[in-house]
Amino acid sequence: MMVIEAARNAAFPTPPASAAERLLADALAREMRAPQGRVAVVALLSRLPPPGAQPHHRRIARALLDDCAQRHDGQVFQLHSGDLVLLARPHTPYPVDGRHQDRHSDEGDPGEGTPQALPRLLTRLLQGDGTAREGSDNDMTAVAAGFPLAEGHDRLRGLLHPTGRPLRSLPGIDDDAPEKTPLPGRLPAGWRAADVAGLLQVQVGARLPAAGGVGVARILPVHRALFIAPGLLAARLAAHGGMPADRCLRQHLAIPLGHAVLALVRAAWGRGGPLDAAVRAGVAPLHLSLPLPVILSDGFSALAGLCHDAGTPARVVVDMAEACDNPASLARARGRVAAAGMSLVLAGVGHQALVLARPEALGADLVQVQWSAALTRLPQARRLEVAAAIGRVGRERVMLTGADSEAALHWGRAAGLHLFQGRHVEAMLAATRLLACPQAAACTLRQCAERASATQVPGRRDCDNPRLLDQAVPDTARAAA
Amino acid sequence: MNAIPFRTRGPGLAPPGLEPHEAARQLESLVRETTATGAMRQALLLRLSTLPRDLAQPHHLRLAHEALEPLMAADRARLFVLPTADAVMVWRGPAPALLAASKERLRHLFTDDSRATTAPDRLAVHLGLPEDAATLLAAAIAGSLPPAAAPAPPRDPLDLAALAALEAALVRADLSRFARRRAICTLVPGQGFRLAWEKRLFCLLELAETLAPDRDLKAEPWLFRRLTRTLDRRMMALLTAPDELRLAGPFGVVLNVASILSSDFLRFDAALPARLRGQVVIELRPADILADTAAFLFAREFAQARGYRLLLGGITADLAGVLPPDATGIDLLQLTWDPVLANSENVVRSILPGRLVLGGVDSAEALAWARGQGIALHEGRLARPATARFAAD
Repeated sequence: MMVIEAARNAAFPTPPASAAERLLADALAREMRAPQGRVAVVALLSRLPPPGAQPHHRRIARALLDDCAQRHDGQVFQLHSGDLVLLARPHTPYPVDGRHQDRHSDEGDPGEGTPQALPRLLTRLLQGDGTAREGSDNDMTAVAAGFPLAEGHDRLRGLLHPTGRPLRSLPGIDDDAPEKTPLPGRLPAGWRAADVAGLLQVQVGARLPAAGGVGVARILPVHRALFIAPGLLAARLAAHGGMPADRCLRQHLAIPLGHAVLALVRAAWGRGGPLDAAVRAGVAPLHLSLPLPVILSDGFSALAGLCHDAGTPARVVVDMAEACDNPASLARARGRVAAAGMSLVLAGVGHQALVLARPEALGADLVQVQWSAALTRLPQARRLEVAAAIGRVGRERVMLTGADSEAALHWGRAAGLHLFQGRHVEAMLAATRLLACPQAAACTLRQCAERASATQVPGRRDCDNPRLLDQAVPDTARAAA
Repeated sequence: MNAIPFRTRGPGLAPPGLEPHEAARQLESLVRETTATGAMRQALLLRLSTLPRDLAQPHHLRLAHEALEPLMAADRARLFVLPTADAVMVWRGPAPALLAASKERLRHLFTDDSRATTAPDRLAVHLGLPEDAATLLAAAIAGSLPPAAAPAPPRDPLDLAALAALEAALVRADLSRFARRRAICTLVPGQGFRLAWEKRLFCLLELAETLAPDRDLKAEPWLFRRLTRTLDRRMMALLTAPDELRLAGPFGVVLNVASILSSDFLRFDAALPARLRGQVVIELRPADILADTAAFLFAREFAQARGYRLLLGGITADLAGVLPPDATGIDLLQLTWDPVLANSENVVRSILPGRLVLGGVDSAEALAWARGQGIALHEGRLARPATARFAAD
C-alpha cells in the first residue's frame, strides 16, 4: 500500500479530491508501476453541448461501462465533472479449433461492448443529432475516447479534480424516473377564460428578405400569433403548488386551456379592447395554437363563425406529435379548419424531427421549424439533410420560430427562409416603431416589445400610441418593405 | 331443384347436417393439410356474406348453394357452408365443364341487380390450393370467430385524482394475471402461419375492470400515455421475473422512449439471456418519438446497439408517408389495416415489404391485401400459427 501511495504521490503531486478520483489515481499508479496492458475508455459527459448531460445519458453510459467492466475485468470511476472512466483489459479473441473466436460471443455481448469498440458506441449515443464532438477513439476533445493506459496517463490526469477546489454534487442517475414526478391530485382550480386572460400573449411574425441586409426598414409583419406564455403559465402553476415537468400532464392541461382561450377570444370579440385589437385589427392573419380536441369542439365552430362573418383571416397551429398521435382526429380537424376558410400550421418541428419525419405529408399549409443553436453546429451531412428537408417542405412554407437571437435570423436567411417569429423579430419591430413614433421619447426597446405582446389593458397602459402598437410597424415601413 | 345447403353427396363429401362452425373448422383443417402436404385442390369461394342485405335472404342463399350443384360431381368434392354465409366448394383435379356450369348458374342469379357486389366475378372466386391457401384460410377462420362483444357502457374519463390512485394501486397489484401474449406470424408459402414473435402486453380492459371499474382509461389520451409509462415499468419487472426470460421465445413489448432510458430497462437488459439478443422487438409510438426527438435518437442507438429490433406501431395509411423507416432508422413498421388501404395506390410503395407488419388482420380482405403487397408479417385474429413453434425454429 505504501508503495502505491508513493507512486500515486509521484504521479499526482496535488492529490485528487473525490474518493473515486483517488481510487482512479491509485489504479493509474499501479499500472505505471507494473504495466498490465490495460486500456481506458472515457465518457466525457461534461462536454455535451447545452443542455448538457441528462440523467439518462449518465445512466446508460454508466451501464455500458459497468457491463464492459464486468466482462473485461475492469472498474468504472465517476469523476467530479460527471465524466466516467473505465479501466479494463482489452478484448482479445482466443483461438478455438484453430480459429479465432470471440470469447464473449456466447455470453450475449452484442459486439459493441468491448473496450475497443465502446468509444465508438458512446460517441454515437452521445452525439445525438451530431452536434456533440465526434473524433477518433483517442481524441480527448471528443465526447468519448479510448486508449491504452500506458499511452494516455497524462490525458486522464488532466481530468482529475485537484484538492482544495469545491466539488459540486451531481444529481442521482434516477432523477428523471416517472415515480419522481408525482401527480397532483387535480388541476389548479378555475381555468376559466377570465383566469387565462393574464397568460395570453401575442407575437408578430415577420417576413425578411432572403438576401441583403436585415435592416429594420425591410421587415414586414405577416401574422400575429396568440398563445399562452409558458413562463406566465409556469408562474401561475407555481402558485397552485406547481406542475411536474411531465409532458403528458402539460399536454393534458393544454386542452382546458385551449377551451378557455377560445372562450376568451369570443368574449372579447367586437368589444374594442387590446385582445380584440390583437385578434381583429392587428396584423393578419391570426395564428391560434389549439389541441385537436379543442378544434373539434363547438367552441371552435363558434369562433370560426365569428372569423368568417367578420372576414378575419386565421390559421390554426397544431403540434406535430399530437397530429401523429391521432391521424383520424387530425383529418377531422383539418376538414373543420378548411371548412371554416382557415389554414393549418404544423408546429413542434425541431431540426431532428425535420429529418426523421416528412412533415409535408401531413397536409399543413405552413410548417413552423423550431430554432435551436444546435443547427449551427451540425456536421455537414446532417446540415445537408436539414436543407433537403426544408426543400421538400418548400422554403416559402417554412417559418423559423423561437428566433430569439441574431444567430437564428442569420441561419434562417442562409437557409433561404423568409418567415420568422421570435423575440429578436419582436425587437426589430419595436425598433422600427421607436424610430417612427413621436411619443416614444421615454420608451425603451424592451418596453415597446413587451407592450406589443400584451393582450390586457395593464400591459399596454403606458403606450401613448396603441394604434402603432397594433400595426406592429408604421405604414411607411410597411410600404418600404 | 333441391336445396342442399348442408347436404352430402357421394363418397368424400362433408357429413350430413354439418354445423356451420364445424364446417369452418373442417375447411381450415383441410386447407392446412393441403398446404402442409402440397396436395393440389381447386376451390370455388362464394362470397355471399358480401351481398347487400336485401339480396341475402334465405331463398337467395339457397339458390346460390344450388348453383354449386354441378360441381358436386367433381372428384372428392366437398361443400362447406360457413357461419358467415359464405360457401366453399373444394374438389380435386380439373373439372372445367362442371365449373363453367356452376358459374353459368351463378351468372343468372342476380342479373337484375346492378350493384358491384353482385357481379359474378366478385361473388364467386376460383382458387387453387395450396397457392391460395391464405384466402381460403381467412374465410374459414373468419367464419369460426365468435361474434363481437357488445359495446361497454360509457364510463367516466380518467382524471388526475383517479390516475394518481390507479398508479398507486399498480405499484402493489399483481399484474401477472393481466399479462397476455399476441402472436405476430409470418405467412410461409405452403406452410401457413408460423409464429415470428409474441407480443407481451397487459389486457387493459380487464385491468381497468379490476382496478378502476368506473373509468375509461383511454378517454383522456395524455393521461393514458402517462399511465403507460407506469405499465411499461411493471411489464419490464414482470419479464425480468425468474424463469420468465429463461423459458421465453422471441417476443415483443410496447414501450415508451422514456422507458427504454430507465433503470428498469437496464435491469431487464441485464437479465436478458444471450440467446434472446436480436430476438426482442420493442414497439414505439409515433407521437412518442416526435415528442422528444433527442431522447428518441439516444434510445434508438442504445436499443439497437444492445441487439433490440425497433418497431413503429400505430401507423395508419395517412401516417405511412410521414414516418418512413429509412428516415426514422426504425427496423419495422406496423401498419394497421383499414379498408381504405385497398383503394389507396402506393401507400407502402417506398417501404420494403419485409419491414412491414400488417396489424388488424381480422378479415380475408386484409390478408389478401397483405399478400398482394408482399407483406409477410401479420398480427390479427386471422394470423394464428398452426403450431407453437417459432418461424425461426
